[in-house]
Amino acid sequence: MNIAINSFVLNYVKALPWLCLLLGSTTALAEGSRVVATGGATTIEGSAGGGIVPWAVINGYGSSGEWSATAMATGVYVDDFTLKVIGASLSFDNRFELSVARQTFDLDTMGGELGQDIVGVKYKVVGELLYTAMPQITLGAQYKKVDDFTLPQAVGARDDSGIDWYVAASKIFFDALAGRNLLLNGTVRATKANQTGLLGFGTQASNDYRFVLEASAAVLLTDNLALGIEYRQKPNELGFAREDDWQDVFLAWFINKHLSVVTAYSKLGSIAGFDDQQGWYVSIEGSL
Amino acid sequence: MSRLWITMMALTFVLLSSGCADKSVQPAPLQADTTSLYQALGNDVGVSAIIDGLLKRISTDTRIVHHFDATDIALFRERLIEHICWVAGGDCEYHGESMEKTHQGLNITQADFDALVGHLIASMKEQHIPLATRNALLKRLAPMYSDITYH
Ligand code: HEM
Ligand code: HEM
Repeated sequence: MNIAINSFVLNYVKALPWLCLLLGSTTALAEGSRVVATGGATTIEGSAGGGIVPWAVINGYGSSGEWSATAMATGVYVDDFTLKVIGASLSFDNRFELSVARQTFDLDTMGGELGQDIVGVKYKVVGELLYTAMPQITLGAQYKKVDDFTLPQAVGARDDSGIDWYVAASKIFFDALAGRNLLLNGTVRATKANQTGLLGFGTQASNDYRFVLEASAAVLLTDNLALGIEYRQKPNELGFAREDDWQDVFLAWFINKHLSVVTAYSKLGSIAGFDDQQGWYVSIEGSL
Repeated sequence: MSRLWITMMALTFVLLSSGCADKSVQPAPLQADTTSLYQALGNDVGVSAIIDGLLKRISTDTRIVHHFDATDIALFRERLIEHICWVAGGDCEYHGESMEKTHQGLNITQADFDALVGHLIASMKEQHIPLATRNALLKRLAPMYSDITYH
């Protein structure tokens, strides 16, 4: 997984065999019992959530005692860069989630590319998204490793790998806005990652964790359509270029329990000296 | 949480009974809301159709049907219709036991609960109940989760 491969499609094809293995190894993957849309989507880091913020939800529709698996492909097309992600997850009991994601970040204007692999775990501690007054609360970790440390090191990063830790709280409020259900999510993350890890971890000056806040709100317009916003605070540690907070507005279409499509308009601010990076986000996800 | 539920029920009762005591008074907004949920579900005819759709779906769902092996279905149907009427603020009396007592010892899991909620939603859709009305009923049923599951 360390060799940088240019083609997104090739990447996807490469992932298929072990995806099949993943799916094949889980016996009796019937359609999960949970209510449609409660699995959320999958973030660019592979964890269940919105587009850029991990939520407390567990991927897929598996309920207690049930397995679920998902696979996704995402593209984010901003002015001077393109981020492509493929990922997959396996979850059990609506409690544990294991995810993998591979990011390729094309430096369209500068030339070249960056990339990282992410392995994520998530554990539901307490609460049920739909049913309890207590919000659903999960703990998560994301281990990240960049493909090639040359560029991150050149701009001042300390390490080529790092772990993000987060706690997320999500709750759905029934009949909250004009008869529609409302999802609120708040996430606190401890991270050393520069630009989510694509520019390495820590700096020459500091190896400390930074705490950042992330939040999402979404309204389920229909049973299958969710409109929402996300905000993700980012650390700004590297001296060579400013790093901004990210935000997006998304529309998610949960076609059925097996297929969903998310489109978003994202504002990623300044990246590696290129200011005001904005553009479209498109993600497709399959779920078993 | 169950205290919240009881408070809500008590409030509903107070509003309903005060409404009955003096029918000439303009209904308060909350009362109008509670009576209209039962009406929005189609009163007795509508709720009965929803419950029949639910029972039809449960009877063919191998994941949960075993829970009802020893159940008197005719009585269960009556109690469910009464219960939904009561929960939706209709003018009914519920003759059954509390949710906690009724489901005691059944070891109902989250998967069972999710499956039943899924069938209820499907049945309401079949009866063309609008989204806002469906959500309003789910809002009142969802807090029963802790009384019904895992004991
Ligand atoms: C005397 C007791 C029980 C009997 C005879 C019984 C019988 C069954 C049967 C025949 C099935 C269907 C299997 C299938 O569709 O392949 C089933 C499924 C199931 N039972 Fe039970 N059961 C009992 C107790 C329980 C208890 C105590 C629980 C919960 C703790 C439970 C949870 C489930 C679940 C979740 C399923 C669905 C599994 C699936 O969808 O694959 N059962 N049971
Ligand atoms: C919001 C969810 C639910 C509501 C409102 C509800 C309501 C009721 C009501 C009103 C009764 C009749 C009580 C009586 O006869 O005194 C009942 C009985 C019963 N419920 Fe539920 N229930 C819910 C969820 C579930 C689930 C998820 C299961 C299992 C899959 C389940 C299994 C049963 C069984 C087996 C009985 C009959 C017990 C007996 O034979 O006496 N219920 N329920």
